[in-house]
Amino acid sequence: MVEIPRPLAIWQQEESALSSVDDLTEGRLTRRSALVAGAGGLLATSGLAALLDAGSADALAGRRSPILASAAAQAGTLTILTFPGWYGPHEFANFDKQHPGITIKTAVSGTTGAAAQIAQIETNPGAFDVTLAGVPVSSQMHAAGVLEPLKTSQIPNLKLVGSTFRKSLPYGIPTDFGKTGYGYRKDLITERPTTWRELWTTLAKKYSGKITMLKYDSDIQGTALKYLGYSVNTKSKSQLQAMQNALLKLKPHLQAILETDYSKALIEGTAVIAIDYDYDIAAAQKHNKNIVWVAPKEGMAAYLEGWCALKGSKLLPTVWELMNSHLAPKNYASFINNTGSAFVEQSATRYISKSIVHNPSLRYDPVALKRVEFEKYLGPTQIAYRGRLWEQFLAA
Amino acid sequence: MTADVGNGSAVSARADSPRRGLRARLGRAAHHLLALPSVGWTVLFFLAPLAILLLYSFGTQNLLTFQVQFGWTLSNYTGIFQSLYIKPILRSFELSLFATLACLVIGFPVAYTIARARRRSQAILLLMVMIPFWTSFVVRTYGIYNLVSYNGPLYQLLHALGLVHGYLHVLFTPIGVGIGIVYTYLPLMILPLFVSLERIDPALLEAAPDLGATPTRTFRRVILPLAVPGIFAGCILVAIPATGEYVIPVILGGGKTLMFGNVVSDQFLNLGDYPFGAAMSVALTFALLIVLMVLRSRSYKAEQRIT
Amino acid sequence: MRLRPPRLRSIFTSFVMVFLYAPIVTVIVYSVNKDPLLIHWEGFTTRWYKQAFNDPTVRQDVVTTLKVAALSTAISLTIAVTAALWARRASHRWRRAFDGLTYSRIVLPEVVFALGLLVLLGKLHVPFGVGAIVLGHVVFNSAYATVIIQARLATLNETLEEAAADLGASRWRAFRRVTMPLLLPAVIVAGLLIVSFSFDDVIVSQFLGGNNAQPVSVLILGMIHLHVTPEVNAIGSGLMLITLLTFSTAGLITVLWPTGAGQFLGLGGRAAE
Repeated sequence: MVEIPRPLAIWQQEESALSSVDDLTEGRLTRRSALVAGAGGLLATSGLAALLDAGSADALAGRRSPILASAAAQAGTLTILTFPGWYGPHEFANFDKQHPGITIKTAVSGTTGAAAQIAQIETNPGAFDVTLAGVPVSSQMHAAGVLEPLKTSQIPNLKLVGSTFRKSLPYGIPTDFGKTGYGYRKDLITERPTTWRELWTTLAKKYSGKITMLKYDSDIQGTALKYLGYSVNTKSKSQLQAMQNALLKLKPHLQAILETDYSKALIEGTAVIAIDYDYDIAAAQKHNKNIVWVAPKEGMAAYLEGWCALKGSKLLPTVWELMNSHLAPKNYASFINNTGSAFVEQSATRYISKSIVHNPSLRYDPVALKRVEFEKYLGPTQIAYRGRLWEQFLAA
Repeated sequence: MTADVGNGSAVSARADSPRRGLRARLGRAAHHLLALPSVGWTVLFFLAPLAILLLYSFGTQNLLTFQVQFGWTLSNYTGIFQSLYIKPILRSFELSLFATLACLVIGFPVAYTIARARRRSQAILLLMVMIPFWTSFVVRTYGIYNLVSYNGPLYQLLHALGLVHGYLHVLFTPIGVGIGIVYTYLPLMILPLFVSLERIDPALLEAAPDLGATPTRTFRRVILPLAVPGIFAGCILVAIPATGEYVIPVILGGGKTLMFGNVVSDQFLNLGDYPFGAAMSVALTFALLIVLMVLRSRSYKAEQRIT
Repeated sequence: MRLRPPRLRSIFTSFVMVFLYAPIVTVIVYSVNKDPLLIHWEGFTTRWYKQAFNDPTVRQDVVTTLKVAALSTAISLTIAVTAALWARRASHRWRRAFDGLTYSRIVLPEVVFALGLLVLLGKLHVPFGVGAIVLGHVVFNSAYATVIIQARLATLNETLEEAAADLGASRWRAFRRVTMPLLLPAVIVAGLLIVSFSFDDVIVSQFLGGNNAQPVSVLILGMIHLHVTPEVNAIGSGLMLITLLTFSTAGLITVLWPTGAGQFLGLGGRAAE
């Protein structure tokens, strides 16, 4: 893939000064690592370290999988199910170079629906090796018996990922997450909202027809539950009915429930509020300086996703090695820089583009993060029940 | 001397030649072989899968693993009759009716023009009609989306002409969906209409006014009879897929309405409720088929009047 | 001599053509826009085409799409022609059954028989990939083609064929010299149409593609997950161009081969019969 120019992160600027990729992983004290050690101290004092289990100096270097020898011996095509471009631009090419005989291929998945994703994997045993999956889908896959249990001993870099994330996604390595809040145009509205309540009550009526919403059932239903003060993962029928009523009250004021380009209308100004993911608003802010991100006081629903290994894969040792390599700070940072997503690995912060690390929507505010609730797997009956509610919402 | 044998077999039958009789029988057998590719394929790759899904529609399903347990229940069929699903079904019918009528009204003059053009132009015109549809459907639909967006190119044009102020209110409304539907299904009306209209003898059309026929009479007596198979085919090819259309309402309609196609695909792709999805699809297919067969017999009668 | 065509009809057709091409112009313009979010016009660039061309996944998927379309079109047209020819002489009862089979393939939501096919092929251990996708595409493509060819066939008077038979022509010869040339426009038209259906198909393609056959339609769905990018527009335009070139080349070949096809296209060959 041809790299799209973006503001160069520190590690990218230093790239030319390095002779090989290995310099970083071997932890030699170079000009760069001296630079970032200082930044590391700054980050630690902001409370992030406590939240995200920053570790020792090892965290900076990242560790290679101890069984590299056997992984290198494997040959074949490793197929990973994911969204196009949802990885570092040179990550897979570099991995291929380091592992002669291995070719990484990507295939599209997750675009048509959870059941389709699971069916695709179930009916093609051994055809795919790794899949990107969120918490609910990975739990379903685990229950269906298509996941290979995570071999954490072969993925030492997993320790670099915050424990909150690791606990929420036990079946795979967490790679990214996204919280649902909203953005508004400060030049087009006079209010300066900070809560869901303001959006649902005053703003919806006043700016009716100028509010867009992203289309994802669990994120939107979770948002409504947060607005009402309930848990994103509640099973209470009365609470869910209240959620449904709130959504139905909001719907007439929506301009559109968008499949893609969630922030485009906000950037153009044809909408004044966009209910959207944090990283998407962050990216939008680069295009319009008047966009303000709101992490509502009531809290936010968030999804967490990562890579899961699939049963029947013939390249499991290589899979663990790939996962480990993905979590190596430099590689992980290249993934985050490429996608602009919210990140789960604090030690990679030094290599992540400043515009991402310091962005208000993506920056780790420990107080705000406490109000973020990850969507969990709720079991088949709940999924079916919530699914019907979502259909009802769309049909209204 | 040729005698018409049975339903119009082109092979002349002469009673005095036994060899002819055998040939005739072989000919008929060979003729039935013609059905083999179609029937064979349909049985293997359509009816067999359909049978599986039909079985599913009477079963229940393990929501955890999406595996279906076969146990005989009608709950999937009765479940269709909730207002939650009736509304999308009606909406889809409404949309389909609009699509068919609009495409017929717009498509007929175009098909007629192409049919009456010179041979060389015909090929070019047909290609021109089809070329836009060789981009990917999603790309095309977002092309329409951008074209009719609030301050998109169409707005700029209309604004420059002084026809619209503020912004263009087409996207995310039924008008936008209508434009998208007509756009997507127009070739499905134009092309079948063309293949039957092309058969009209231009000499007849030129002679008719000379013989004193009014334009309406020419239309009714010369054009329409030959157009009937094309009109029928075009209406089928537009109306039927349009009832299952859900992508255009989602993209151009702002996703605020649920169509029948959404419900079905949701059951299969998102919720994994195969029995319910199967029941819904089977029930609707059955209902539509009955309507279609009735219309088809009417169209056959009309066709017989041509030949 | 041909009369001058009435102007109203031609003007209307021109308007419809503009309507058909306006979104395509938008797609092409967006594919050369420097702005990756496609909000403002930021200048002309061919980088998105280069990016798509350099991406091995895109290249592979385009080839898969073309393979699938070519195979499914060829098979579907064969099925449709044979079926339509049989149907016009079949008895009333069989004809009705045949019609039911044809229409049900169009009526039934694709996801239904795609899932059934997935289960069936899985149980039979048929490998998923291009072949399996073609199997699925032919199911509905052949139905569309049948409807179009039947519409054409209904306008053909059988006396021409009977006359040929009287004059000593065999059934096959009568078909080749009389029926086929008259059917050809419908066959070509049906072909043009079902190629686009193959291109656009997502459900069957994703279900039956396995891990080594991913058509462009599936790829694009993944690529627009967050934004509709200029690269996606470039892929759409590129696919359109490739198909246009393919059909134009096919058209040119028929010029050098004076059969009914060449005459239909009016591109040379012998005078019309």
